[in-house]
Amino acid sequence: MVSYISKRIVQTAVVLLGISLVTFLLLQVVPGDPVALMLDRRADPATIAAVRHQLGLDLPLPQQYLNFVNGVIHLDLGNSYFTKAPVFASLFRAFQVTLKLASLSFLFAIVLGISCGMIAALYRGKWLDSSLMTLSIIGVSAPSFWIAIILQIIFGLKLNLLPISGFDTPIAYILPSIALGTRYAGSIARITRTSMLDVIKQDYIRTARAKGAKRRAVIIHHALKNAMIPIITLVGTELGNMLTGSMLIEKVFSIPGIGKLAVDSMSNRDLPLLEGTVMYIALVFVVVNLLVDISYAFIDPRIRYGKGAAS
Amino acid sequence: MKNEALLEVKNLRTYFHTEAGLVKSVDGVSFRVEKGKTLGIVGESGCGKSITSLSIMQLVETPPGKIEGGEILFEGENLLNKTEDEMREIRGKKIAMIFQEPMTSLNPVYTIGKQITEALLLHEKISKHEAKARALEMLKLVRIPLPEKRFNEYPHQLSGGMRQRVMIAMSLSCNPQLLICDEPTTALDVTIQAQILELINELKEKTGSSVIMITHDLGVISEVADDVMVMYAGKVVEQASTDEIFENPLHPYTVGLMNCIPKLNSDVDTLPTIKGMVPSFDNMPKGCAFCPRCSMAKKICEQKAPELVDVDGRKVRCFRYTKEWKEEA
Ligand SMILES: Nc1ncnc2c1ncn2[C@@H]1O[C@H](COP(=O)(O)OP(=O)(O)OP(=O)(O)O)[C@@H](O)[C@H]1O
Ligand SMILES: [Mg+2]
Repeated sequence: MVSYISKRIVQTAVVLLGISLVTFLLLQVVPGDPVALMLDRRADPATIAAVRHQLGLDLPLPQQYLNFVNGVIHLDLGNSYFTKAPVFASLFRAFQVTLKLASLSFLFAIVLGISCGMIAALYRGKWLDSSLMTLSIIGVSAPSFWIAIILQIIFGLKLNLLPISGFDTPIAYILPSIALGTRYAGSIARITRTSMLDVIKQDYIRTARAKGAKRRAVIIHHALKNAMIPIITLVGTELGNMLTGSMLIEKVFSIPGIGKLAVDSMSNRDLPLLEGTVMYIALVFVVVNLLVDISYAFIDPRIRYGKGAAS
Repeated sequence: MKNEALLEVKNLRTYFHTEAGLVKSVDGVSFRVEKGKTLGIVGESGCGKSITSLSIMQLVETPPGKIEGGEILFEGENLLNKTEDEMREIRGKKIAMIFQEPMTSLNPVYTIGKQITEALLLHEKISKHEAKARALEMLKLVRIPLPEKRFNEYPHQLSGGMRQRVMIAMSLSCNPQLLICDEPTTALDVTIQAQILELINELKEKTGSSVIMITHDLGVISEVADDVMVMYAGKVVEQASTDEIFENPLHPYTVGLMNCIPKLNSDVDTLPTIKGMVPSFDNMPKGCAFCPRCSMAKKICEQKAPELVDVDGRKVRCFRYTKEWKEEA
C-alpha cells in the first residue's frame, strides 16, 4: 500500500514537471510580444528593453524556464501584467470561491447520482427505473447555463426564495451548485446503475445470498463496494472539472472564481496570469487523479497488493 | 426398505420467461435425498442442473425465472411455502451451496476471514471473536496451510483449489444438513479435483450431512454418489443407485455418457462422444428430446414424448422399456 502510494506520488511529480515545461514552451510561441502589449504603442526601444530585462525575458530560454519553475516552487507566479497584482494571490482568492462552489455541487452530484443510480438498478425495468433514467438523460444533455437561468427564474424571480447572484452568503451558492451539479449527477446516476447491474450478476453476489444474507445487506456490503470502482473514475474526472471552474456558471451567477479568472487572463493576454491558471488546472487534474488511484487501492485489494500476486 | 428422506422434490417445474420464448429449464423433476447420503445429478451443459439446485435454495433470478409448481419438502416442510425471511434462516444454515467457479464465487474486496465469519455471524449467536476461532477451525478442517495467515488474505491471493477449499469451509461452517455442490471441481485440474472430492467425502462422513453432487462427469459420480439422477433437457431420464447405473445403464443417453468416461489402459487417442447437440428450448422435438441423437430411435420416439417408467425398481424415460416398443417391432 505505502509503496504503491509513494510510487504514484513520484509519478505525479514527474507529470507536473512535464506540464510546466509544456506550458512554458506553449506560451513562448503565443503570437504577440507581451511587453509591447503592456507598454504604450509609442514606447521607445530602450524602455522595452529595460522592461524585458526587468521581467527576465532577455535571458536564454532554459534560464527563463528554470526561473519559472523556481517561482512555481516558491509559490511566486509573477505579477499580472494587467492588474499588477501577484498572480498567486489572485489564483488563491478565485480558488477559494470555486472550491466552495465545487464542493457543494460535488456533494449534490454524488449523493443524488449514486442514490438514483442504485434505485434504478434495484428496480430495473420498472417504471421507476425508466423515469430516473429519462431524468438523468435530461440532466446530462441540458446545458448548465440553461438550467441556471431556469433556476434563477423559478427560485429567484418567481418564488423569491434564493439569491440569483453573488457569492458572499452561503445560500447564494445553492442555485449555482445545483445548476453545475445536475449534469454530473446525471452521468453519475447512469454509471452507478450500469455498474450495479453488472456487479449484481456476479457469482459472489449469489454466494452471499446462499449464505443467507439479506438482500439489502448484500447490495450494501457486497455489491456497492465492487460497483464503486468505475464510479470513482468518473467522479474523479468530474471533481477535476468542477475545481477548475465553470466559465458559464460563474458568468451567469457573477461568481469570481477560477473560470472567470481564466477568461480574463485570455482576453487581456495576461501571460503570467494565464500561465498560473494553466498550471493550476493541470495541478488539480493531476492531484485528483492521484486521489482516485489512492482510493482504488483502498477499495480493491487486487490493486493494493499488485495484480496476480498469488503467494 | 427406504431410509428417511431429508429432501424430497416432487414434480418441480422452473421456467424462464425470455424474449425468445418460454424455457422449461426444469420440467417436472422429482427426486429424494436420504439422510447422510449423496445424490449425484449428471447431464450435459444446459440440462437444468444448476437451476434445479438454485430452485431448492430459491435463488432463481425472478424475473425471468419462476418456480411454476411442484413441492420441495425439506425435513417434511415445503420450502415453496416459506417466506423470504424463513428461507434466509435455511440458506447457509441448513442447506449450503458450493458453486462451480471458485475464481469468481468469492467477493474480491473482502478477506477470506470476513467472508467465512459472515455466514457464522448471520446464523449463530456468537461473538466476532468466537466466529473467528470457528472460521480458523474450518480452515484447518479443509486443510488450508497457514490458516491464520490465509484468514487475512484476499481471494486473489489464493489458487483456484485453495479458493474452493475456502468455499467448502464457508459452506460447512454452520453444519448444514444438506450441502449442494454445483460442479465444485469442473474448473480445477485433475489432481486438485481428486483432492477436493476426497475432502467433501471425508467431511460428509464426519458431519453426517447429505450431499447433492452436480456434475457432467460420471467419473465424479462413481467416486462420491450413492444414487444418481441423469437429466436431459430439463427432465429426468434415468434414476438409480450408482452401482446399478454403472453395472447396467438403461437409457441410451446414460450409455452414451458412460462411453465418454476415459478408461485407463485404453489405447484410443480420442474419446467417443455423443454425436449431435442438446436441442435448444425453442426447437424441442415433438417426441423424445434425445431422439435426434439416439442410435436406437424408432418411429414412436419421434411421435410421442416418453414417460418416466419403472423398470425393476429403477426409473427410466425411454420407450425401449415399454409395451409400445415391442409392439412396433
Ligand atoms: N437467466 C436465464 N435466462 C434465461 N434462461 C436461462 C437463465 N438461466 C438458465 N437458463 C436456461 O436454463 C437452462 C438450464 O440452465 P442450467 O444453468 O441449470 O444448466 P446446467 O445444467 O447447470 O448447465 P452447466 O453444466 O453449463 O452448468 C439453460 O438451457 C438455460 O438456457
Ligand atoms: Mg450449471
